Amino acid sequence: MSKALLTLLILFLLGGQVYASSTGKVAKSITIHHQLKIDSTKISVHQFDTSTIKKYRGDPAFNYAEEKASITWWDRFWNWVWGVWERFWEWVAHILQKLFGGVRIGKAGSVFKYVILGLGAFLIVYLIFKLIGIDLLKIFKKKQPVNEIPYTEFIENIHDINFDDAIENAVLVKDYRLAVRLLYLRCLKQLSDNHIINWKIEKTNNIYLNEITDEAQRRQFSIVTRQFEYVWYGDFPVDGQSFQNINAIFQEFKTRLS
Amino acid sequence: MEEDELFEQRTDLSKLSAAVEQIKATLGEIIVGQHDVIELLIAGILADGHILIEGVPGVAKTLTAKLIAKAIDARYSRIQFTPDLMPSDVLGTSVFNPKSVDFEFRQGPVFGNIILVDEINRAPAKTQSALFEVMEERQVTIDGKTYKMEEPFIVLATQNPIEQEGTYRLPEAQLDRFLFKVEVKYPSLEEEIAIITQQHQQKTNDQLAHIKPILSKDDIVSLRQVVRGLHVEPKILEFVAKIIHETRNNKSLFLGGSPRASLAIVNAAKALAAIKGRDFVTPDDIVWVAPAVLRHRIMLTPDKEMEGVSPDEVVKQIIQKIEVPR
Repeated sequence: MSKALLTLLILFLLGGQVYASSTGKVAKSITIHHQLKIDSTKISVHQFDTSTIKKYRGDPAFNYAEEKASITWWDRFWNWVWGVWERFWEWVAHILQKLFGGVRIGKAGSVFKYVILGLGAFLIVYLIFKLIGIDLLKIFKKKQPVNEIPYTEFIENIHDINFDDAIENAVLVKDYRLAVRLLYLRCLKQLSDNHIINWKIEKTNNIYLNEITDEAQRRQFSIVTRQFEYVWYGDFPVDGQSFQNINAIFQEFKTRLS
Repeated sequence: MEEDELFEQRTDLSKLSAAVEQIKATLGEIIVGQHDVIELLIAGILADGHILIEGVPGVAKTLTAKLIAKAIDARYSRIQFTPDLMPSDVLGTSVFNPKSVDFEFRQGPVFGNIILVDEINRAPAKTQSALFEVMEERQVTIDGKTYKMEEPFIVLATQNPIEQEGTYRLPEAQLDRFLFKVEVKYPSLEEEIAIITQQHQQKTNDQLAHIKPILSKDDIVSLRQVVRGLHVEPKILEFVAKIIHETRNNKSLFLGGSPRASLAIVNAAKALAAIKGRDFVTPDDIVWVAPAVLRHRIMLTPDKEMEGVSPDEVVKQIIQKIEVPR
């Protein structure tokens, strides 16, 4: 059956071909005579500009070939650093493994690694800030009380003055204003010697007044301070008589204190 | 002999002392505590200065300023500084009058005797600069015409600390024009209880309505003249100059005090001395007013700011470096 079909198919195909050949028209042969034309235009030869080619070759924008990254000395240095770093941690892991009897450190080891890295980073930041004058540790610290600052100048020290002589000299030349000042400074010395006040040149009279705890002493000191301030800061005139009155107040204070 | 009899009073301070006592008593009935704040406000007014009051919201800054203004019988105006406020809203503007076919100047709220600028640091620098001329020179120049302010001219400004939301830092030039920056702190526990009790008994509102002026404009002008004439020893002036000079050389400071700061300290100390009943200045007066005069004028270096150091601490350190004239 199949053979018959195959035979039929071959005959059909051959038949089609024969039909096509029999119906085709035969083309007439045509003779064409070509006439040659000569191009006589002048030819100017253009040369490539070598400098432009060189320029384009030098321009990386026209370089389509991928360049292989060359390893610089800087890369080699960092490769070496990281190599040392890795070997160090391998060594640490080995030591820890030995210490813990062969137990693998695992995640704890890597956490420890990052802690060390963090500390190292903080140290670098701290040193940079330290170089520009900022102490990072102080920022997080509780504020310290203000430190005592060295005095910029010392004009006179009440402990170095011979008050009796100085007052006597001032009275002799009728410089009562200076005499009142010296009387007051002697009061301060007495209070300081008796540890009632802590004498310092930057302290005002009011500060000394507040340092006195005994009420009677404070009242008496307030009176002598008033005399001194009126004469020394207020520039109130002092004659021999008024000096005697002021001196009496100071003597009373001296007697009560001693 | 009584020690007071030794020195005759050279200057009559009786009127000043009486007025000060009356103001203190009146304010003390409403404001609980804040004695230093009240004293500085009075000193500021007597020293012919403008005062900046700083504090967190709710510590009676505006109330204190209003009370001080009420105690003086003068033209009072209040300007609420907001972010959209324009200089013309403060100073005034020229408006076209169709009847006269001409521009007429409409005075702004700054034309007055006591100007309460509430929340001053909520307006940007452009508006702040409108106050420069009037605060320093007591005059306003608009459209080529200068308008002089009537004496006394006092600017009382309140502000929140700059860390608060919606606030701007005031320009240094403007800060320098304020005599004092008064810091209003939180009240103590006892004071807090007294405030609540007072409010609970509804005393405050009634008292506020019944406050009568204690000083007139002329009183203020004459008292200021008295204060200006007080004695200051050259040693004290030298002491002030040394303090200011040290602010310019101190390592903790980026910006020190100006010569205006030196003058401010002396003027403020004179006013304080008058309040204390003295006609001369002592180093204690200088030391007391120095932080209020300097804290807004000096600028800390960035590292000191980061360390949390306050300008008051630096001022204290500077004063500790300098020998008290004695």
